[in-house]
Amino acid sequence: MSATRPWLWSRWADATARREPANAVAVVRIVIGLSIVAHLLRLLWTETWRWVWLPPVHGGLVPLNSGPLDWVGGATPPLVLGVIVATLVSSAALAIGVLTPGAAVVTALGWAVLVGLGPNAGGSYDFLGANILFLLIFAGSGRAWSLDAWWRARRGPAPLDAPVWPRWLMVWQLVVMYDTTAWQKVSSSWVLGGPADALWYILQQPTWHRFEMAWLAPLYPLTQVMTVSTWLWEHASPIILIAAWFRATRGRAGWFRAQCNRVDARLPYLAFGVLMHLSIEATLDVGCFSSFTFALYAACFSGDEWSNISRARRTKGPPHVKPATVTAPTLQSRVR
Amino acid sequence: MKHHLVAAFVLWQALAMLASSLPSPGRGVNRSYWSEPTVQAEFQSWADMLGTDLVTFQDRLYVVAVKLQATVRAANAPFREWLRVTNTVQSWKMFVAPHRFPTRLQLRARHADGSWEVVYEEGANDAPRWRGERFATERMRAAVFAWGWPQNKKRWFSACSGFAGEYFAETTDVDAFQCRFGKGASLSAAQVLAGEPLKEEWVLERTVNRPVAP
Repeated sequence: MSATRPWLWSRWADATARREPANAVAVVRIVIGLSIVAHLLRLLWTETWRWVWLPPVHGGLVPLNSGPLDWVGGATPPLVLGVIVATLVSSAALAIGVLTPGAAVVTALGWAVLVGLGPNAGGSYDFLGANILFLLIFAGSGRAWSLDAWWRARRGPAPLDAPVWPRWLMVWQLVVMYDTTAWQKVSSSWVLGGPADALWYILQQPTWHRFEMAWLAPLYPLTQVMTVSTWLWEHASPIILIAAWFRATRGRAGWFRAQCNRVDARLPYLAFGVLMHLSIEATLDVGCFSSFTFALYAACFSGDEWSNISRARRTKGPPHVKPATVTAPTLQSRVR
Repeated sequence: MKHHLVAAFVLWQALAMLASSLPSPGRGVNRSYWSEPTVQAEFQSWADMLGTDLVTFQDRLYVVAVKLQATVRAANAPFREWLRVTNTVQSWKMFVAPHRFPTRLQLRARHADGSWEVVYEEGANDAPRWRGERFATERMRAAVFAWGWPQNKKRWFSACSGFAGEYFAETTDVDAFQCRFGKGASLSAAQVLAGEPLKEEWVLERTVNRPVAP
């Protein structure tokens, strides 16, 4: 049968059928869960939810978008508060891994209802959160570093592994996000050959900055360097997918693959990303965008790599490195 | 069989994510946005770089933008319902161009003696901060940014009524509440170093009077 199937499709089907330890998606789950908890607590604590998620008749500022709450009488304060609390509880459950698949579904639904309510009162983190939550529903992320996994281990069965494809779609999400945002940065302030003053002017926008940024004027050349390097770095995001794929398939033949695997290109790429996002967080308030992005960074490393990191920390010894030559058979053996 | 269903689903989802993210002009094809000084400055900059005049550049850009929009819509069409139902629509227009003429929110209250008091102002570190903890959240920052565009005037005026209502409920000697945006060109680094002041004009001004008690 397999001989009649197209070769490429067969490879694709094998790749998407692989499984691995659930540690990588567990880190994604924990970071996303905690980020949403922090976000909702802030909106509750400051009562901003009333302004952005209620209609003017109930203390909100602008008429809301139509959405699922219209089917049950509209966005009244008790109903919206109920959705916030339900999403808060489910995202906390997601973070600690209790009834994880259900928690992922409830958090995804709650997030969809809430962020769809207020016109203008949202950002790219809404898209990012929704897409990561959607993938977490299928990811088996509660099978490691969770109360679900702890409870299962107490009863005796071996830990379950997780399908690898949701994690690969998370890496794809990261690449698509960075690269398509770079393609849309067509301002003369961003592209090569222009004045490279995009970051300078963005940092002067009173709406986003945390404090006045005029003090940066003597460091203007540094903002130009960061403008150009950020734009190039975003365009280079496919590196992360290629590097992660070559690491996962390093047992396969090929001169290019072998050369690429001599250096783990993920590390410098993601290190630059961490630096950039921390700089953004220090100067601008762009919501949970950075923490959601960091969750995707975790997906760039396989479940086996996260297991090794965890093992190395426990034993304080060097991580277990799989011999490159057996990687492919090992992965094949994980095909169910 | 299950393998193939999973493989097909992953391929579908990967393509849907890409199609949804494809760069498109979006509201940028609406020429009413083009009169904004930030947009005009951007176009002028590109026209200069390409060695053409502003009008020719805008006309050619419009043709390209409309074609690009149609192409992206066509690429999106097979996935549109799926993206909507799964709430996985995505768009990554993040800081695509710096706002060279940004707006700065100011809220003022008029006391019974006719004097105005600024109760909230964006920007300066030491400015008054009525409801500052709410304005500082990312969601209110996004909303205030959007309301500074003339296309969102109706929502902006509605929001102002909301601010006024809350402020009136907390005070007794205030008879009017005003919301407005200061708008002006951001200073370049050289201008900051030269000590030039920020020049702004007030736009999108809205004054709400305290309702007369029945």
